[in-house]
Amino acid sequence: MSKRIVLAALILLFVLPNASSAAFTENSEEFQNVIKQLDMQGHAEDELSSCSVKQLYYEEVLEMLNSGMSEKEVLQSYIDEYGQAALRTPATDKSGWIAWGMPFAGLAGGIAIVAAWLKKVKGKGTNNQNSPQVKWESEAEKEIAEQMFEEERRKHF
Amino acid sequence: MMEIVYLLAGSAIILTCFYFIVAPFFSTNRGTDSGFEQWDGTLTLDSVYGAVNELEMDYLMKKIKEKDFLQLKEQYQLLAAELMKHESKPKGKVNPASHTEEAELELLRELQKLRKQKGRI
Amino acid sequence: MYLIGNITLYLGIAIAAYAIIANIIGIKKQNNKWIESARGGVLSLVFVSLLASFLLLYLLGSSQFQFEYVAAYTSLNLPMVYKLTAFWAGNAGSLLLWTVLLCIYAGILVYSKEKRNPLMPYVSIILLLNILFFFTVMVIGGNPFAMTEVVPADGKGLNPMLQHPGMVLHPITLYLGYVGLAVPFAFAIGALILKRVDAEWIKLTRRWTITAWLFLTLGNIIGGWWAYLELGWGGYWAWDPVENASFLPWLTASAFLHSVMIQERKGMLKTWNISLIILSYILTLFGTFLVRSGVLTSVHAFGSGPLGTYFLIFMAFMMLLSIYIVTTRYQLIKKDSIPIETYFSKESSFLLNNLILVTGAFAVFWGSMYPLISEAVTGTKINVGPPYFNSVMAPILLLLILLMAVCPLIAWQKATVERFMKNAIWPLIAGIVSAIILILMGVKGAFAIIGLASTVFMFATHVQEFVQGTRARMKATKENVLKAVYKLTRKNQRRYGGYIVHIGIAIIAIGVIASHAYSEEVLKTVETGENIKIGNYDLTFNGLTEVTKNGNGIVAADLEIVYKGKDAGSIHPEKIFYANWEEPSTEVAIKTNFTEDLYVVLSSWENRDKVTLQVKVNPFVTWIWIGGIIMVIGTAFALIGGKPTSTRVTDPLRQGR
Repeated sequence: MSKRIVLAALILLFVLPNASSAAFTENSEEFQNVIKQLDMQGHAEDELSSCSVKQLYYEEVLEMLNSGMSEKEVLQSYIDEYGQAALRTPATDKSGWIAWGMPFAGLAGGIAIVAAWLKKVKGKGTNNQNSPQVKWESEAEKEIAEQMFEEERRKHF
Repeated sequence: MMEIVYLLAGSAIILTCFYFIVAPFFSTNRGTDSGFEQWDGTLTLDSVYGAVNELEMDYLMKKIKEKDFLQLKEQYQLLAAELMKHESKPKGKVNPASHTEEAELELLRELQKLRKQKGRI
Repeated sequence: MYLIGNITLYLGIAIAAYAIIANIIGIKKQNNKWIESARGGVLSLVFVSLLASFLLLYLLGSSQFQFEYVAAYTSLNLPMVYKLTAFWAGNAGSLLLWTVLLCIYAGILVYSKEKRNPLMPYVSIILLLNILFFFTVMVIGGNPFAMTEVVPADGKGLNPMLQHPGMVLHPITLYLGYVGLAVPFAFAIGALILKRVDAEWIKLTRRWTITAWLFLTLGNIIGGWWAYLELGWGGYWAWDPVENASFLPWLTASAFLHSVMIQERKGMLKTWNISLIILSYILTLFGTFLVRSGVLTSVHAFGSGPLGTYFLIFMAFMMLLSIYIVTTRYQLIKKDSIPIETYFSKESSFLLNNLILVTGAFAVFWGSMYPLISEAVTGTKINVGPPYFNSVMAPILLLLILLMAVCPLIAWQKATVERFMKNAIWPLIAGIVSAIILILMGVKGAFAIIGLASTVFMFATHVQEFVQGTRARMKATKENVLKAVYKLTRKNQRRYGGYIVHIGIAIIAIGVIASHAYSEEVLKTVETGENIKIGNYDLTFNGLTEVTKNGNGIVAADLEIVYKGKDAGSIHPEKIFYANWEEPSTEVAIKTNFTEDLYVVLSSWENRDKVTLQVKVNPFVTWIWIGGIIMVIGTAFALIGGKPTSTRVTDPLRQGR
């Protein structure tokens, strides 16, 4: 009796992983992860029901996942077949660093240019900072002009 | 039959275009008139008022300090005073006698005018 | 008909060429008669291009299948509105659309009140060069009036995907934007040639630039809306090369709209502004080149052909011309700018804004071009798809949102860090609180939360600007609230219009972030009576129906929706089989509410009682369209009333007069 239980447990142990891996569907996270990265010959953005290429990919990927391949292996199998063009993005390793890095290099370059330019313009600015202060000719004049100014200004407010 | 209609229509189109192009050469009005007003970047009193108003808004919205606001405002007032002088000059009825004296006079007149205006308002 | 159509095209070439020469003679001889004659030439061009357009519309409307274009894009049973809008469904027609818009713009310009402006002949020449190019291309590469050898009984019909209101509007708005950018470009070049590089050309073209930008915005958003409703993959932006091509000039034009403010106020960045507008214009040509050349695969491509090459040549020509003019005038452009006082200033903030926008444009450009570059250099093709753009553009756009949150709080003159901090504190708190609330609500995803919180920060800044502005005005003028709000915005329509645009962007950002990070998707095969659960929705499949309508077979699934336990009606995703179009089209069924869209696609079926459905829940997608509308309103607001304000008053001040 106890033997049987052990045996049953053993069988269960063997079967369970398989059972869980056989349960991949289009809604599994693993499947989604793989599909999201595949270019599917430019059909990735197509509507599934009317695109036979996309459907084929869906079937293949499901089949591969259900046959026990990991996400990475599935992706790799496509890369082996089609090269990097199988995926929707450049590789994240050495071969793709130019693709990924360029925008940020551009940003860095831009920051450098802006910084240098700012410094230049600012440098000029400090000289001008103490531009000669113009003074009113008399207090009376100041007062009148000020009131006049304020009044006119209000109209434009 | 239709062919002729199309031909006529086509010719009419060509003639119309030809007319548009050639007409100016035969127009009577002088060719070199320049009613165009040269754009100038010079500043006007209105723009000074605008600038100070904007400053005041910035000040009231607490974006700039009171000290800075008052200081800038004063500078703008000086600027405005000067502009007023300039603006009234072309209209000025006075002939150019001596430059400095004339300027002094002009200023006094301006100020008087201002006072009067103020009294009126 | 054929005769008249072709006469208009050849006349277009001849007149455009003549008008260019007349303008040049007029400039050289200082003779106004020649310039007026050239003006007459432009009028003739408006005339012939309108004639050609009406002719094409007539041919399309009356289904004259002896014309290739009509036969290729329409059919007898097509509704009239789509017969007419097939005008821009194909290559030749869209070239004609571009031409007629260009001619009308040129006509408006040369007969405007600025017509005596010495700049105008130059502007006219630049625009005429464009017009000449388009007429020539139509004649040699895409004649809308070409005849078929055998007159078919019926046309091929319009691609069902293009039979949608979005497609009526998307191309035309985008073209209005593209063509509109040619105007400030022409002015910039004209000003350079005349060596008048002050802010005049910017002022003269301000309305044109904003209008062009408005249409670019509108065109892109309508395009996204169409893709979302019609393409059935559940998204609105695919980072497709052609979408990118229309996004690029939008980015650079946005940068331009901001940086001109610095030139107007401070006289700085003259070369930069000219470069930006040249770049924007060149990018519009580049976009057209992409669409027509077929060098990149795209849903938008009109297919390959020599047209792409023509555009490439023209683009290169215009680019070299601009570069030549800029470099020869470079010495003149510089100088007489007012220096900035501190690093912390409005000017710096605008520079940063330009930096980010242009970097964004560069990143998009790089990503779109990388497949070509890698293929040319290494021989292997590498795709650069949405995941790439999403990860590269997300931080850049986040920076942009943060800048938008910060910049309005900085004053033009005498900005201080201390004052700024005081002003920024409340919006910042709003952002942080929103992040905390999101986390407490159990929302996952650090990046999305950061993005949403930043957007709230940005939104709060703008709300605060309106509130504080109103308060300040009430204090200064003792007006009541309503009057203060009205006056505040009326007095500075340009600024507050811009703020409204920013608010629109905030709302779009929420839609984009939420729909990217929190959409759910289920693909499931169900039998009658079975149900699908997704998010707060519970869908029950009630069977398949089949009807025939206008000769098209429509298969529809009937689904009952229960939303949060309450009955929420039903939904009917369809497949339509067209009488004269090979592929069936998928009609997405969408149930929209304020915070999420239920998006159902009928994928396939075995029989009446067993179907496969693709069901998505896309949160906050509606916000994107609402945000778009707000952006348009804001832009229109800035456009109608906004006169350039307080120009360069700081200049004499600084120079001690």
